[in-house]
Amino acid sequence: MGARLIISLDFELMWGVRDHRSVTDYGDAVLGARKALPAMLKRFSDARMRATWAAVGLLFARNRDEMLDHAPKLRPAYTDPRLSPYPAIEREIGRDEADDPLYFGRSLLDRISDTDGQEIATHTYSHYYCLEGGQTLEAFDADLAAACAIASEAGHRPTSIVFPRNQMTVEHIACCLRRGVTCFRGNPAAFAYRARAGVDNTMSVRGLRFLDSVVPIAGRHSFARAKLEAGAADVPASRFLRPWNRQMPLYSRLHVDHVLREMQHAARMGQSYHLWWHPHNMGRNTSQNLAQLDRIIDAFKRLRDSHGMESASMADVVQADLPVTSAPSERLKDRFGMLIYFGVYSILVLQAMTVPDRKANPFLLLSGFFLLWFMGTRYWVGCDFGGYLNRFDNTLIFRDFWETVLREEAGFQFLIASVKASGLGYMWLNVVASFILLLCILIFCRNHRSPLMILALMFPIMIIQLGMSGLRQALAMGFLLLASVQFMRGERIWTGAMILTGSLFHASAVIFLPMAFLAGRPVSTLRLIGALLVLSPAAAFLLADRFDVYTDRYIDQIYGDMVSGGLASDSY
Amino acid sequence: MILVPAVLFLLYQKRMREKFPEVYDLLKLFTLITLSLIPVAILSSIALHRLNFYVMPISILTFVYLSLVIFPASQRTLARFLPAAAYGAYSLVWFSMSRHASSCYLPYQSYTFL
Repeated sequence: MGARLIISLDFELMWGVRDHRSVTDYGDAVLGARKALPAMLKRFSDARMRATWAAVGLLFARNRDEMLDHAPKLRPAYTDPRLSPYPAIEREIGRDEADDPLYFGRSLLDRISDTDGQEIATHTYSHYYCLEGGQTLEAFDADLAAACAIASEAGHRPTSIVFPRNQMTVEHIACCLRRGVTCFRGNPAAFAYRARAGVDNTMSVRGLRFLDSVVPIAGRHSFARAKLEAGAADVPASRFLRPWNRQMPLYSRLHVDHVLREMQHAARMGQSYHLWWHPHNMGRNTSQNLAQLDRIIDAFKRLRDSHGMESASMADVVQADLPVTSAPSERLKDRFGMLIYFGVYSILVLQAMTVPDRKANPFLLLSGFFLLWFMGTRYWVGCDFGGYLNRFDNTLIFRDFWETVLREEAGFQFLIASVKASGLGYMWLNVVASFILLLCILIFCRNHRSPLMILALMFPIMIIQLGMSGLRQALAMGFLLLASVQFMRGERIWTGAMILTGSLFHASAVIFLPMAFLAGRPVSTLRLIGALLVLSPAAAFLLADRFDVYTDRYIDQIYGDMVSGGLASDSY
Repeated sequence: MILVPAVLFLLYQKRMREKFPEVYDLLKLFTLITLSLIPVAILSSIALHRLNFYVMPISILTFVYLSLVIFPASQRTLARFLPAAAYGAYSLVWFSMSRHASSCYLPYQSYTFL
């Protein structure tokens, strides 16, 4: 394993300091971070350096409503109420980034993700404190789910986490693993760096860390490779890059000298050195802080040339180290990638090419069972996995049955509530939804020539792209397939009933209602126009409530282009 | 992807009506719907993409029936293979080029293996 310089930044703007710093005494540093951040990115880009940016989930929100819409229902009840950001979101902060640049940072996040080699990781949704009084594992899990969901809607799937204030336990790490976050920044092994609550961060502990920043009293913190902790990869921090200090310029000079010596040691030993800081650390005295960073980058370039030191993000480290440290099943998953999907498709096609239509039924059934397992038990697969997980977590179980049933797209809401009322987890929502969809698809296939080939051709788009992501539209599409079967039989009422059932899952299906009018009649352009004229007003009436949502999502794309349904924000 | 079967259907609709009268009206209806979607592309490619999901299954059906009509019985294997090859090629391009594919679908993971 070669030497590596790993850089991670805790991107939090005001959310990371609001409990102990006011806007008056620290706002200038946070605003300064907004200028320093692009300068850092340019330096990383010019030097071809990679970094991990662990962002507070709230920073993905474009406005205050999005922050509240994505916020978990179960919020941390800290003993110290100042730690919770939610009262501030409701009462203190501005509308959006233009109105309040201290608390909104989506444009900066987009800028980071547009820069080559930069990893977007999570720093929890609300800058969650894992060791403070009043927090619970359940509240942390809900917070992390919200963080993953809002990141996912912005087109990111965070696999790394930096715990705020470096507070964590193995239970929190295990929780991350269940949410698909497989890597975390651990603490150096020395006493002074152990994870502890704020109250235990005494003057003596901070004094030790202060001294260790210039002289190696706690030893060197570089490491050979990431190790597993509670099943996740620990990429431990080596050193916090302290901001340049106007009162103690000599101390700052010695600190950077110490960092450079540690980097050199890591390069010689073929080890990894993990440097971290906050962008707002460079928000004041920006030119001096950037000069410090320039020294580090110059040293890295020299070590790259002389010792082959590489630049890496946390995810890069996991990718390089996991084949040695992970379980066999993890390695298998990494290695096969898209071959799994092609393998399934090839088998379905081969089956369709070799089995005659008259013997297709048992093969259809067998394929159905396999696809039910493949789709239903998927884990963090599909762009909407996080969105629906968040929605699942936040749906209240039958608080009022009719309130649940009579909402827009009540079918899906009913499905979620039923799964939760049965005491089953999120996976079972996917299993049940996949079962309904596959049943519709198999009935559709059975009613046509070459049923196995139709099933195979459905796999790449209708099953992978839609069925394993946009659950609601997939179910609506399934019922539209049943409607098409009834259409062929000339059953007008059943055609309409199936379309209306589909619209209970995704209201957009109702635009096909004119089909019912045409069932049993020869189709012509004139009749189609006639059907549209007769039934479009009814469809428009049924769709009216959802029209604005669809316009926002699919035409104006205010949630980004990765969203394909299951938004946490639209319909609790 | 959905336009090709729609255009081919218009070219071969007479033979389709003769050979598969029970499904002809359904295929014709969705061919007309497919063609009417062309203006939606100007409004929003995302909206078109979402509407495509509704039209695509019947488009697949059209593809399969067309392959039975266009090719003679002696070339039935080729006829069955062509739609599969087209969708296979599409998947290959999608998995290789799409940000959605790489960020949302890879690696495939299952609760079974956790």
